[in-house]
Amino acid sequence: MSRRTSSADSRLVQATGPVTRRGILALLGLGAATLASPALSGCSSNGGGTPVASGVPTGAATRGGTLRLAFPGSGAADSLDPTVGQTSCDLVRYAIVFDQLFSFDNGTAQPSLATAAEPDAKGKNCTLTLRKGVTWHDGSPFTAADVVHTLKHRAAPDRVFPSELSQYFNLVAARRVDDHTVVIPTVKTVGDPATLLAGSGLYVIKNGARSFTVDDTVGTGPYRVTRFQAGVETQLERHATYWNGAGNAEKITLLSIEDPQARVNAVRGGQADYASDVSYSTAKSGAGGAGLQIRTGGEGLRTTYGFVLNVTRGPSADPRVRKAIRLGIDREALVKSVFLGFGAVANDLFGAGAQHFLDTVPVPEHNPGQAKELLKAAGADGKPFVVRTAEYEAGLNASAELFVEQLRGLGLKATLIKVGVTEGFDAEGMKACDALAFPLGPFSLALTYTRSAAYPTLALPDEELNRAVATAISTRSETERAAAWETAQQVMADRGNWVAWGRGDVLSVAKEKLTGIDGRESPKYPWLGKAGFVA
Amino acid sequence: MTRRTLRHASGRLALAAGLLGALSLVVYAGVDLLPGDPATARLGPSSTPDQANQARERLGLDEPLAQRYWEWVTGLLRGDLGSSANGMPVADLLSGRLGNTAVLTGITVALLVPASLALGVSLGRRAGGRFDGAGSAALLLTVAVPEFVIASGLALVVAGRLGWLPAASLVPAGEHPLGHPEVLVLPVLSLLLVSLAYASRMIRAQTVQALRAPHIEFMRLNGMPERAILRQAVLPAVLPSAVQIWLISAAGLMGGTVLVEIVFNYPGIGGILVSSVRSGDLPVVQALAMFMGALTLLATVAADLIAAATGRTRST
Repeated sequence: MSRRTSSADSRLVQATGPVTRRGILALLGLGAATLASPALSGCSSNGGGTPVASGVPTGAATRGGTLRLAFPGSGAADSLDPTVGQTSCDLVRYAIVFDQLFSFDNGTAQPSLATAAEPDAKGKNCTLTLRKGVTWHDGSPFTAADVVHTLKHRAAPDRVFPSELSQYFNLVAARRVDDHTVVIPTVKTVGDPATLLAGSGLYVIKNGARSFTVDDTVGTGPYRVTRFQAGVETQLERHATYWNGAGNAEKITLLSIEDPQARVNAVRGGQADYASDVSYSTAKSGAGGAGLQIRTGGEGLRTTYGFVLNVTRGPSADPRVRKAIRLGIDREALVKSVFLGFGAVANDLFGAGAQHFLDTVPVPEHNPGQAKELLKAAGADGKPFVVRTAEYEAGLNASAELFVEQLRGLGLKATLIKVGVTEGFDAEGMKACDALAFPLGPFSLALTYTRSAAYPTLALPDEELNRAVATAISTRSETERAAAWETAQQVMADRGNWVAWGRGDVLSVAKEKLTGIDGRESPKYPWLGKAGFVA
Repeated sequence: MTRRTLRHASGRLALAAGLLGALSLVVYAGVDLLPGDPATARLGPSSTPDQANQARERLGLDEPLAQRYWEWVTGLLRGDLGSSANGMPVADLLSGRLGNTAVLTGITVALLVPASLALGVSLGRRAGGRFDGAGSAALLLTVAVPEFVIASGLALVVAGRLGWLPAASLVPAGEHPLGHPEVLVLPVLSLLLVSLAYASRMIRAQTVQALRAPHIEFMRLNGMPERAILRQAVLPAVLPSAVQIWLISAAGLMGGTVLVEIVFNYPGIGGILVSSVRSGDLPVVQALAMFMGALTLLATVAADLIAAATGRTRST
């Protein structure tokens, strides 16, 4: 399993060394715009401005103070309802106002409001044991009735986002056994329910809760909402009797700022202590102020960038073509020009950072000669090849442009279709392309493999793969599950349709003294339950 | 007002009503035809095709366009803007934010009117001189720069480097931007610079034209002081056109403010428009497009009516 880095040892990157052209550009405020051009950054990135890592404050956070942290939101569509919001700003807020049954830490599911989730021997039911001694923000005790209500509410047909859990559990049939035990009937056999529950964004709400205004948003989390305005900010106060130890900061203000440059400006101008999701070009130009740092989310929490090949048509159906593309592309060049050094090459597998991830699979060596031979042998030489991209993550379109260039160099007649993010997953459009640019955060393997299999144009119809994934999800034996995930990943490494070429850092800009920003599930929406300032 | 102008005015208003009807159809169908599928756009890469189908059904996207348009437009007449994709009433999403945007444009217009009149007339009176040459060149340069470039520049220099004003227009939850005037300065300045350049150039041209009139020549020959000429002959000739220019500028500001609001994270309609286009939240985009279109249309009609009342044709 790969090691994740959490707040205590997350990395700090800053430009050091003598005055450079880059340093001067940053001073002039021109860094971001100028350095966005890959051509410019390629020629000067090895000078004094090379990213250097050191550590964030290691001291413990002191009690008290107000934190002001900026995250991308969705403007007026921000919502206190934990079944509605999808942006980082929403998810950060849910995670400190509410608790989940299980939550991710170091890539594995850790007990939160549930202390155990046991599937029965026949695979028909799953029994949840709930934590005792937990109180809601209004002082009332947390019980099984709250969990039953949460599950039923989540499964109701009028929810904006359907829950993936419904594929595995019959949520509406969940029943209370006693105050701290709930039984959920399963739809298919689930071997490791804790991991599925941890990855499902299931925030536990109070029995009877249906509307979520400032006054009736009651959670069990370390902070409670005192003020909220969609697209503007959320003001939160410490929940003194939080079951996992009260938070450090007295108050937290979450600022919803959609534009990345505006987020950075807010920190540089002293209006915020932290801005999440900073662009690579901004980071390269430096933190931009005394007492500020550019931080990475840690190696285990990088975002994997890649392409999913559509095996239902054209050249990608031939495993030789898939292999040729993997051997033929220049990953180093992609990493350099897209991540500007804030990342590393990858071994074609999505899911880095998750439990059971196979990082022993080597990164394919760059071998354009062999790639061209394979393409010729497959009769794909000179054949049209359509790449589709939308800017789901910063730099994805740039990566697709470079990818197309490289494919042309290998002899494919590659073309690029660039669409808006609203079109990216349009079914017809996906059918008409041979490769789709695809980013994926550090989610569990169960999510990574079931989501990609849901679209015929993203899936790899391979019996061994399907069997292994089914086993990995259904088996109750930890060793069997580990072996099944290994098999599934070996299949993908051997003949799969992923060309995951690199993993990019998730960057932020923060005040030096700010600590306790805990990546957990994703550094894009960290857990702030223990955030604070060091003395 | 004469009977002729009254008849003209009622004709114009009837035309405006007809155009609003046509606009609603164009807006609804146009937004509906935006590339992409609102269901998959909303659910993102983590959804399955089945979930996207369910969402499509829930959003009513499986009904025919004509039927959806009819429901929307009848709702509009009742004052019901519908519900956004995440279930919130569109009117609730927009209400506070329209007010904030109105504050921004209102202050800009209030500053634009005296500033553009003073600048335009004084440049026009010195037409051909050095002051006019430098001034006109500066205005031309500013007109050519989009609002968001000016806004980004101000954010970097005035807020970032000099630290005189906040770089982000953050208004605490539950409070009004007017209670925090410092967050208004840079957004207003960005909008003002561009609209001022446009309006002053137009007013300068009107002044130059007015000064060429034979009766002004006559006043000068009779030894009337320049101030009196300005007050009695030039301003009355320039003002009707100036009012039209201000009305058109005010309507145009609504578009410019979207981009400026994004740069400063000002809590107006800009952020909503951009995020709802991005997430394919069609009911919100339709309401905003309809609102902005209607406002532009009404400003143009008002400018026409003023022109008719003052016996001049529209000069913009």
